[in-house]
Amino acid sequence: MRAGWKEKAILLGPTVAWLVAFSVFPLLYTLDLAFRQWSIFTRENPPWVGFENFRNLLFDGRFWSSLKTTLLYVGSSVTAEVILGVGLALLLWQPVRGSRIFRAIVVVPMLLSPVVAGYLFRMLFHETAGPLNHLLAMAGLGRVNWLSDPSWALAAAILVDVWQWTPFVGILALAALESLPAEPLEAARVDGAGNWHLFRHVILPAIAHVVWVAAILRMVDGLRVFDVIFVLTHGGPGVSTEVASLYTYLVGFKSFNLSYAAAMSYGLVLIALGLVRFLARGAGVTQHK
Amino acid sequence: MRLKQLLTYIGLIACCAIILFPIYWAVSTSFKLPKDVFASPPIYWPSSGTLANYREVIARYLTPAIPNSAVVSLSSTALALLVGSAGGYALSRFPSKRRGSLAMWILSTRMMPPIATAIPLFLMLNAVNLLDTRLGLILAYVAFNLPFVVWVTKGFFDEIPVEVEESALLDGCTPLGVFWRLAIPMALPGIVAAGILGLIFSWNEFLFALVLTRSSATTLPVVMSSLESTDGIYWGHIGALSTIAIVPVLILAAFIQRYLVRGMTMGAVKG
Repeated sequence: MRAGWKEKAILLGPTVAWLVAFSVFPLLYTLDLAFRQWSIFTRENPPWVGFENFRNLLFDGRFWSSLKTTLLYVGSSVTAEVILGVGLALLLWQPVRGSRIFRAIVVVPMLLSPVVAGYLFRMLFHETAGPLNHLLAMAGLGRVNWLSDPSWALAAAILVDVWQWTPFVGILALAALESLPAEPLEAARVDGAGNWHLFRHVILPAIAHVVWVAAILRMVDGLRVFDVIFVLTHGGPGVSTEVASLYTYLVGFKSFNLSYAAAMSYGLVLIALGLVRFLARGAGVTQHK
Repeated sequence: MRLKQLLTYIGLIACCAIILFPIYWAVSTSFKLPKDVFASPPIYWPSSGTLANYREVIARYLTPAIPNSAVVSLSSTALALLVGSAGGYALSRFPSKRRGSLAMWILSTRMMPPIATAIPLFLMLNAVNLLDTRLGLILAYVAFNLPFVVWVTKGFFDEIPVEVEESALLDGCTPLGVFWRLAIPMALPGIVAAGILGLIFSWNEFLFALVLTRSSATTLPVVMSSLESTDGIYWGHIGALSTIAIVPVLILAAFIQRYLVRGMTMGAVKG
């Protein structure tokens, strides 16, 4: 369709202007901040300190530990979400009556605020009054100090993430399953292939690409995780669940060391970008859509 | 065949139970009497209930958190729809190499950790005295929702054949008129869906609200996060607040059920 540049400007202009003002410019501002030393006293014109913030970042053990926690969190939750999500998709794929209702229900966890999800599970994880420990005890497995034991807290957070986002992988995998051409499946079945063989050698390769995309999307979102951790454990006990975003927030808005937090944010952004490019290339995908 | 169906049903029901149980727990807790809230062993099916939690929660948090959340979500979503659907339309109808990379940029803003934008936004809003104001939060939320709205509406506009618009152009209609009077009505379901999803995202948003507000413009998620006082957390209130936070979302989602999958996966799946 053809139109003058004036119309294009009116249509696209506001979007671009808004994003430049509130997305692009802030990121450049952060970069500038990272090279200065911001403090409440020097907030008018913070002095330039070059790479000092970045140098401190390199030697900040707590930062690298938070990064490790984040990666552990993302790796575990995404792996679980992929395995469970494909399983869920297979279940939803079966032609049973009422599967539409199930599909509608399955979407619900993703709609909740992570803050709400965090509180829901805080109630569930309570050591004595929480149903989870009660059910575990009834099954003879003994109680777990989910949120007060440093060894379990991260697992608890991962569980929440898996609860909330497995359906995400599930519906993507389901769409892939539903777009599978029927012939290869029929042909294999006619040749006498069993269900497991069918799954492993026919179905799985066909939906692998979509599942990988879902995994990448979840990984990108996982690197930014903040809300759930803030509410569920607030980084504790100790710093056992302190993810990178949370540490950055504490540095920036509790210690008010905004320029150091800026440098840290930039480190996170670069790491996220690098990770995504590496993973996307690994899938032989340049960028989906 | 029967066995397979049975197993499938069992599996599906188990999944739904796992998915719905936490929500059920919050709702049932919200109606529990204070003595039952911390009962051990926990009470799964309360035999007596009360509305006291809701009354207390509404008395304490009705202003300003809930109205703030509502106003900010509605305004920012409306603005984002207006600006974003125009952008989505332009990206759909005027493809060019530069537009392609613009689309890529819009998608990549999704990858930025929000904390990276929150810091400068804090300083920027502070400089113009918009910190802890609804307007400041609305401005931030529009930017937060725009990439999503542009992306999803572009997908919907892509599906509408261009011929109707082109014949309108030949008949003398201006491109903007075509956008306003033809394209938007035709893509209305998609735009509404994008709007409702944006509404849900804004209603649930936490980090920016936490950083950019203090006491006047605070929103529901922020208020919920600060419920720990010196007397400890009161689950009855949390249950009530959670339910209040969840119910509008579920109702809205029911309206756009058809487009939910598509919106949640950023258009990757047509649902």
